[in-house]
Amino acid sequence: MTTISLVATEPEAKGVKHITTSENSQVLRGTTLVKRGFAHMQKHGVIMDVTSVEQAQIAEEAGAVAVMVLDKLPYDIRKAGGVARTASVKVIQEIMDAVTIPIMAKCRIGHASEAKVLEAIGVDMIDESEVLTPADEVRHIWKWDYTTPFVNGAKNLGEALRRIEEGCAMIRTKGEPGTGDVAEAVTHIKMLNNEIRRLCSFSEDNQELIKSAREMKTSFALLQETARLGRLPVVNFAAGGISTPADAAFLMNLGCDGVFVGSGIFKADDPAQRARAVVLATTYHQDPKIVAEAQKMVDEKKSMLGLDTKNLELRMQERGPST
Amino acid sequence: MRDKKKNIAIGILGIQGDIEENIAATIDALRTMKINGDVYPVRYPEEIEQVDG
Repeated sequence: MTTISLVATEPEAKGVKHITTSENSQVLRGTTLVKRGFAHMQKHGVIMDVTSVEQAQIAEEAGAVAVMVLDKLPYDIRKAGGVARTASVKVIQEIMDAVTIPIMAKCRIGHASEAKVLEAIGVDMIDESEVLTPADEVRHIWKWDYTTPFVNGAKNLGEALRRIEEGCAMIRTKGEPGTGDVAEAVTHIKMLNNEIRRLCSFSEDNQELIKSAREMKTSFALLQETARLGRLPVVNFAAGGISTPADAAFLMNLGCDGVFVGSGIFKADDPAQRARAVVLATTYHQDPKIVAEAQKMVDEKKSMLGLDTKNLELRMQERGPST
Repeated sequence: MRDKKKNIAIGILGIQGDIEENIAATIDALRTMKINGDVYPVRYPEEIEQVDG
């Protein structure tokens, strides 16, 4: 029995590996069940962006379910300019040696070789991310070729389903990373929720479903499954601009399955305390008293100042192909 | 209110991870084994006292 949706999968994908164990039994790695199942295991948790062993240890200590390794935090990527690439292999391996929670890392959109490097060193999940400078302006990675599961960003339902069709095992809102402003992530999750609600209103009407599938440039099977489930067939996390415990609780209450926090923790002046508070608020997002306790743990004067999303030189959510 | 004499109460740690999936799997197991039981997510310390295991 599984509650993990296996719709629109590629059972013969290159990423599925037949392994013979030392006891001579045959096992499969990289199946859709394992990839989407791994994403499900992160549900209700917080995944924190880190750039060093010290930050990863703070995240683990605070109760993060996983860490996302970057060369620079999104806020610093904006400040530095230039080309943002995947993190150093050496740093990723040092972090893998230092913590016991899963390690994720970002690769550039469309950069199949960066993704292969991350897979080769054994990261647990790859984020094909618009936070880094896209390597291909028109194509995403064909993720069925990988044994390692992928996470992708999406601003709306069509984008999310197209990424799932390419083999992605987890979706996150794009938001506007590195700004400390949660408004864009809220817009994206509300857009997605509204589109799913609309879909559910004609879930039995295949004529309408195929019309919507064509409009969204995605498969009928995926759209039909989304209408049946009343949610995406994979886990959907919030990301982009989250900086306080209340931000995390807000997005969880809007229906997100978990939270990514990027610059919000390690660009604040109270990272260890804030990390613990965000985990607490995410876990007990439905309990305002506990979220209030979490808010008490942080000092607003120590929050990252943030950036005005209306006057950004670089809108990360618009980078790379959305089709 | 559940009748603990009739039904066994199983608690599933409801903090992080596959909470709904674990609840669904446990309900399925109880049904398969024909055991009368209810499954509850456990999120607060005091809830541990209210389950049998």
